[in-house]
Amino acid sequence: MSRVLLVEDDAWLATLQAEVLQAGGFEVVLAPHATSAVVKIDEQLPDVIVADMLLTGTTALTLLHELQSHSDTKNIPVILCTNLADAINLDELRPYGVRRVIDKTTMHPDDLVAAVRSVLE
Amino acid sequence: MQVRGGNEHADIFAITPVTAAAHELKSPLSLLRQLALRLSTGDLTSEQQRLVDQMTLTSERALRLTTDVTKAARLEDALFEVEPLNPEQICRDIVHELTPLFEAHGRQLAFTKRIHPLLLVANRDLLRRILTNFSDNALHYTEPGTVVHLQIQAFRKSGMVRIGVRDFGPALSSDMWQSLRKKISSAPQSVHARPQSSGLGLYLASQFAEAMNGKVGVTRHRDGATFYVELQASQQLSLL
Repeated sequence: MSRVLLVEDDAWLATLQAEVLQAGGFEVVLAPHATSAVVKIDEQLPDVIVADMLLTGTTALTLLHELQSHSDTKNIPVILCTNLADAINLDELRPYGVRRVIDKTTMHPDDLVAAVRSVLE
Repeated sequence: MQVRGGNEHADIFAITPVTAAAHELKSPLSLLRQLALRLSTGDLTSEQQRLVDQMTLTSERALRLTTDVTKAARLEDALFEVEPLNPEQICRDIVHELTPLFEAHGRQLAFTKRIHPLLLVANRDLLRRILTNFSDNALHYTEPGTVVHLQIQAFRKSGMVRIGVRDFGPALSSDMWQSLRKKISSAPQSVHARPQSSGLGLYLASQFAEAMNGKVGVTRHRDGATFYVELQASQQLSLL
């Protein structure tokens, strides 16, 4: 079973997305912010990271930088799930491991499962 | 692994107080929409389903407005690419997108197809936002059971193309009319051009039109109004 690290600081949304991913057949590890995400990654490497862009205290970009600094984490595919999708240029973020950008304002819950599956293929 | 302190990338998003406020609104609205969508996958009665659909459509309407606010705040900093566009295709897309919302309110949205196709010069996203905004406005002022029409007109002398959204509701009084015309060129005010309207949507539409060297306007009818945007016709028009 593939492991997804879900970095989302809104507890209700995190719970909803975790339920959807679990129903889609994934093991889900939750982290409410970047610091917690780093701890979780150290404990167990995820196969995919789904992260909100604006997190409590920092942005996902800080986490992306950190992932690129380590050989064992720099190839983990990242999916950004954010309200700022229309301000993000995916091509600029590809070097940071970002493979998909999902717009929270228009997405359907199942889009998350489809995105995770697509980056694992 | 460690996480660096501070936020050295904040400037990437050029967050102003306006965009920050809009983003703060987007988060709970997105969550409401997601929860409603999740709920709709369950076993609901038709009445429960109707209420959930209304929650979804209402949150989507609010999200469109907050996205318009963030987009308008970036107009000065961002370059918006304009290109020759087929307005009929955009009108069809909007009808397709908003039909569930109109049907939920007991109204219809339709597009009157032109015999002779034409092109105009615009940014696809901004034009869609203007017309979606006008359609959304028309939805709430047109009488139940009526059909809001998207209409395209070409003015060969001026080389402009006008896309209008015609609604059928109570006639505007002269005072409302004057106030409405003023709102087209000014910032949102507390004076209500139409009941329950701050004029924010109209102001945003005018900003988007100006960014494409176009303008918005309104025509008063005895039984409603037509809100329109005028944009330059594409030179490729002569080739058609």
